[in-house]
Amino acid sequence: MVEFFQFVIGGLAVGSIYGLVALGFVLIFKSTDVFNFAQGDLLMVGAYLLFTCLATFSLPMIPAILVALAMAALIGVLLQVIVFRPMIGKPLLTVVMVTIALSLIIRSVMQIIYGAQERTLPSRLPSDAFTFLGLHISRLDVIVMAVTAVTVTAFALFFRRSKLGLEMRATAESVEAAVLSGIDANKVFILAFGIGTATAALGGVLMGNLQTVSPQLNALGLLAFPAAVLGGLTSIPGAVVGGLIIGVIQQLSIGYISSTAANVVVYGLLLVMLLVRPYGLFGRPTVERV
Amino acid sequence: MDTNYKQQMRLFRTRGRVVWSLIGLAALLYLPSVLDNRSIFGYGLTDTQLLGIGLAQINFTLLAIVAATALNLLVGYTGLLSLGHAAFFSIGAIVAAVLDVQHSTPFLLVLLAAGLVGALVGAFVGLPSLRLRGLYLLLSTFALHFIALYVFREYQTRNFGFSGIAYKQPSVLGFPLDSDDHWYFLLLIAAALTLLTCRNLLSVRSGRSLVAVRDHDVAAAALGIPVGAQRIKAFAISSFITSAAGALYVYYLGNTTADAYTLEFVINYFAIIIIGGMGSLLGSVLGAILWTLLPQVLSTLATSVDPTTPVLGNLLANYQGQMVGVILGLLIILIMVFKPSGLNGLWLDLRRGVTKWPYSS
Repeated sequence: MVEFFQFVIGGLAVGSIYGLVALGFVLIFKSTDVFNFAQGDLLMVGAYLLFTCLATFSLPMIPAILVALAMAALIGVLLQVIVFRPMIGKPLLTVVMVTIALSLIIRSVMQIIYGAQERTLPSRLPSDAFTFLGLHISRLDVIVMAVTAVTVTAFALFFRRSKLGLEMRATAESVEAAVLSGIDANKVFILAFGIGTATAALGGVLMGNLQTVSPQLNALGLLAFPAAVLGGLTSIPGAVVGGLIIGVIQQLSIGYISSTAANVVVYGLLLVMLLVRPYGLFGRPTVERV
Repeated sequence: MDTNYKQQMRLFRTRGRVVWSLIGLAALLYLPSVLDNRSIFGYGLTDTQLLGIGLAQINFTLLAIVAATALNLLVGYTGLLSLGHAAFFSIGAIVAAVLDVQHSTPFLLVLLAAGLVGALVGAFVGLPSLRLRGLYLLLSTFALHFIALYVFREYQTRNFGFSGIAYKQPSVLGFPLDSDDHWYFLLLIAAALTLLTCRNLLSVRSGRSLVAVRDHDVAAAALGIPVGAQRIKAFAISSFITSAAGALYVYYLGNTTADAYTLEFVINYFAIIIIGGMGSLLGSVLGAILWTLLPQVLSTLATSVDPTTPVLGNLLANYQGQMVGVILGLLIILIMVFKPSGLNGLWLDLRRGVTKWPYSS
């Protein structure tokens, strides 16, 4: 039983990272209709940016994380302005393909800059373990969960209380109506990409602390899709809950079955969810009109 | 303009096309001799003039044409997004391993069996398409991808170990496939057969209803087309071809491991049909040619760039694969922004520009 809870805690920690990446993904999808296949690569970019800030600029951990996130946000803004603005109104598959091309470019550029080998961060967040109710808990896991909790709360407040957040929600609801009521849609799109990229990068920053920094990190970012679907593609709290569920299920199947079977279980769950409840746990069924 | 059904179905629209096709056929038959002897009609050609392309690359191109055509049938013509392409390739590899390596079945029978198993799995995988649309369908095929990969990995490690599965050299009707030349003719036949089959399918009712389902499923249903059955049919046909191509692919390579069938593999094929042109057979061919030959061409050209050239020289010398990735990625984005109909669209524009000159815009 202790073993079970140990897996659950590990699952909640990685799950909150998946949740963060899914959050960024849902944010971008909801406000700009871009189904971003490069979300996993943006996670990887975040981890490498942190590596640069720590190793090259030798900043302390906290400022390094903040600088990395700011740089990631800037990358997101540039992507929106250069790549995705011309794609507004294009068919879905066209935009999906552009994000796939982007993922190809990001991956290649990162390998040119950093090489293909794994990197270990020169300094890490504290990861010593303590015992709580008979469970060994890593301080790092607690930090990861706490950061996620804070981020989600900040998001909730931002979307409920701030003018900008309300404008973003209005644009997500209907771009035309938002523009008619005087909202600058371009500003909202830029903001969505900036925040969405920074959130993915935050996931990467935490992942880089949990593991090593390598080009393979983008595969972990793919788990944002089942997380987002589970939560219902357009629901922001749903993305985080979905991420947590995926994380726990993944860790349990790694622990009790095998690490190769974990993907099958996770994506099998995705398939079942799509067939039974395609709009997810928190989404609303959409009515299609002809 | 076609004015009746018979005109729509015929293979060659004009007599000119018969002539052009014959010239094309002659060129294709002459191609291996050019690439083997590095000379055309007696004139010697250097490696750089041939852009470093050998017959092996052409064979991979032919394989890519077969598989890209199958994907285009599903995605471009029927409008069903599926990431299952690598999964179906791996099904072909498994069937070939079971039937040939373990039970010594003749080559052509293996291909047929691979196709049939693929079609069966394809029909099954197509079931979610009855309920799900667009992105949701795409995500559901994610599951297929990882399940097929898991099955393949388990099968491989139990029966063959980590180093992968080695395939025997096949022979067709006593004719051994022991050189790139022999493979070239077999793959040429396979590609021609695939293209002809799809071309004919798409010009009769059965195939045209696939396009109708893509364009407007409700309108198609109102015309009496069984929409669900068409979707399953598209999945079955596409995966038949893909799995057979998957078997051909592993025979040609001689060995394979589960690691070969990544999501990147699938994405490459999506890139091929997008660059070439969705819903166009010529597009699949052009896209496959560009996508499979460009890396080789770029690396040949890279060797002629002086490595001391600032920035570019170093990049091309040390990061060839990555540079190819960047260039192909940029190419996709440029095509998506400026010419969403792909290479096929460019070709049609060019042809219209020439034939209608000076009245073309």
